[in-house]
Order: sequence, then structure tokens, then C-alpha cells
Amino acid sequence: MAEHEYYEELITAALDGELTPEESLKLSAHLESCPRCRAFAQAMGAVAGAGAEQLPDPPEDFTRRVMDAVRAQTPGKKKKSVLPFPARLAALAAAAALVLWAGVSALGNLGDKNPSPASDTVSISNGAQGPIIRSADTYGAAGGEEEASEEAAPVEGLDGGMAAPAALESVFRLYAGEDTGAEPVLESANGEFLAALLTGDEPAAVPDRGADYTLVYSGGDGGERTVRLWESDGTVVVETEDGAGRAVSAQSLAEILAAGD
Amino acid sequence: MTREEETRCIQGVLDGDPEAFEPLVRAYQTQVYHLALRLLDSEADAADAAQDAFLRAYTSLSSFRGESRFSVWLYRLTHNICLDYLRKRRRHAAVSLQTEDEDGEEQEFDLPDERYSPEALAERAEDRAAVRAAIAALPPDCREILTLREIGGLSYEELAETLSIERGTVKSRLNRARKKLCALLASGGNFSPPPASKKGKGGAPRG
Repeated sequence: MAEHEYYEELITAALDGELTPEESLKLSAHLESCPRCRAFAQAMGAVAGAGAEQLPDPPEDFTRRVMDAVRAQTPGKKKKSVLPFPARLAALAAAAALVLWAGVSALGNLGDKNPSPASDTVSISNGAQGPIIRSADTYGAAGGEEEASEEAAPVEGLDGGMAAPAALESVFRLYAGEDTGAEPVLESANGEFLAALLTGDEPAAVPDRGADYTLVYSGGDGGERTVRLWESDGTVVVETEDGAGRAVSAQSLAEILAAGD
Repeated sequence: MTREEETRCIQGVLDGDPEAFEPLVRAYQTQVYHLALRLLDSEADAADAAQDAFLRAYTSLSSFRGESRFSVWLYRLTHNICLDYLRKRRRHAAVSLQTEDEDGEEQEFDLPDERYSPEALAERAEDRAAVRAAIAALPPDCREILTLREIGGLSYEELAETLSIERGTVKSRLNRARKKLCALLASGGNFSPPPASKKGKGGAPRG
């Protein structure tokens, strides 16, 4: 580096108070003998601080906008709902998976097919509670009005047949009816997209009560699973392997979907 | 905001209270916005980028280790987000912001010259419109480092950290930025390249 360039940088650093004592001495000595660098130092001194020229303030509602966005990012801090919406739908899918999976081992011996969904339902706060919370842990949320129940028992002994939906994070598609070749009612590559979809203006996805749905979701093994859902008396019911149903939510699908906003 | 207050707010957020973030937003929104404004040169984009920066700070706060000042960490996020914005715009600005070409096409700083007299320069530096136009005409990396230094008040160490450059590069880049600013201010609003008669280096070959 040319000598004058070296001193120029020292002059800059001096303006910023970033000189070491040695550099400072060196620079003073040089300035005494170099009119060029003295002129440079004066010129730089004149513009130093010009970069701090007045800029407009941020928009008036900036803090509010940021904090609104921050709150929207924060799970579990508002209203009654314990889980943020995508977590709730993931929980629904987890519950569906659990019921399916439980259907193999534990529910199988409920015996004789009872085709009536309502009669076989268990509430989400019972048997399904543990696994739901586990799956929702990825969203940093937990809790809820739990009531301990013996229904939780089947969860423990689930070692047969199907893999546990340990890391259920993705809900893919929700179809009206059984035709998974049709347009899904809801579609999501991930929970965030789903949340965006569900917090949109219009609850166009809210289904009519009593309709059948097919939920396609990813399990912990990355494979896709399919489960049929329907509503019964305002609760969401998931079809079990034996053809019976298990309620997985105390809310109707419409309520779950509407709770997104 | 003192460092203790900052730490308290950060801890509050980490403990699950999103409202604890608000004082941090209030304390730094102006600097973050100004940095984004200098880099993006658009008030709308700057507001969006600044908001993104705070949101990213919020969601990744647990990765802030407290080794640097919170503001430095925040400016670094802002810097990265603005680069993303620039890339999205697909302007050459994004490229030149990253070049480390410290002395290429530098305008020769000829002294003495009455155009550069400290008095004349100081007068020009008082003229806000002239300064704004001159800063806007600086290359993005110069604009940014000047902003971080003079609005953000970052030390050379912090500048090096924020911009991921060596301390020596901080010095030379700041020097280059101020020289260019001098030259731009001295040129009195005529920001075209200096006349060919100057002993410029690296200029286009002349016939």
C-alpha cells in the first residue's frame, strides 16, 4: 500500500477514535511534515458525520406492525386455544393416526363392529392427549384442559402393527368425501402454509356438518397415510381400522377451522 | 437502552413473553430502518426489511449468545435481509455490495484543490439535500458502512463482525467511502465520473 494511503486510513481511523496510541503518534508526526495529508485530514473532518444526515423516521405504526407479527408468531398466548392453529390440525392428524394405530392393538377387542361413530367416541382430552401433545411439541406448545382417564392406557401398549406417528409435522391434504383424486378442501406442504391458508379472509374450507373427509398426512416415517374423518354431533370423528369411529376433537371441524383467526 | 435492560428483555422473550420484545423494537427501529433505507433506497422496502429483521431476531433470539451487543447482532440480520432483498431485485447492486475490490476505479483524490477546501466541503456537508444525493450515489458497500458507523455507531470491531470482513477492510472501506463522499460533495452535485484529465487508474482505455 502506498504510504499516503496508509496515512489516509490512519486519518479515517483517527476520526472514528480507532487509533492505537502508537498509530496516533505516528500520524501526528507525519501530519507535521506532510501538507498533503494535513489537507486530506481537514477535508475528511469536514465530511465525517455527514453520513449521519437526517433520514426519515420509520413509519408511525412500525412498532405495532412488528409486534403484531411477533404475536402471530407466538404460540399459545392468546384466547383459549392452547395450540397454534397448525399445531391443532397437526394434533388432529396425530390423533387420527393414534386412533388408527390404536385401532390395531387396543381397540380391536372392542369387538363387534359398531358402525355408529358416536357410540365409540372418546374425547381428545382422554386417550389421545399424550401423543397429541407430543406431536405438538415441535410447535413449542403444550397444555390444555386435561382430564386424566383410563382411556390413556391404550397408548402405552402400542407396540404392534403400525409405527407410532412420532414426528407428525406435516398435514398434507384434506379432501371432501372419499375421492382423493379430487381437489382437496385444504392443502398444505407444511403447517405454516396451512396456517396462512386457514387464517385467510374467508372460511371457505369450512365443511358442512356431517360430511365425510379424507385426510392425507405424513407420518413419522415420512410415508403418507390416509384417514377418513367425519363429524358427528359437533365433534370430529376419525375412522378406525375396524370401521368404527373415534372422536378426536371436542370441536367440530368448522370450529377448528374458524379458530384460525 | 442499557445492556442490562436489553438482557432483561431478551430473557423475557426467551421465557415466553412476546411483549418483552417491544422495548427492543422501540430502541432500535430507527437505526434498523435507516440501515435498510440506505441499502434499499426505498421507504416501503426499508419498512418491510426492517420488520423482517425484527421478526427474524424474535424467532432466532435463542441463537443470540450475547457475545456481541444485541444491536450489532440485529444489524447483521438486517444486513443479510437487505442483501436478500437486493438479490430479489436482481440488480447489480447485490453483486457490488459483496465485491472486495477495495481500490478499483477509485476516484483520485487530488489535493490541494480549492474545491476540496475544508470550508467549502463543510458547507456542502451542511446541505442535507446535497449530502443525501451524494450518499445515494455511493456504491452500496460504502453507503452501508458509513451508515453503520455514523448512525449505528458501531466500532471497527463491530463493523468487521457485522459485515463479515477483516478489520483492515473496515478501515480501507470507510476511508474509501469518505473519500468518495468528499469527491461527490466537492463536485457540487455533478456526480459523473471525474474528467479524463485526472490521473485516474483503471479507467477505460482512451483513444
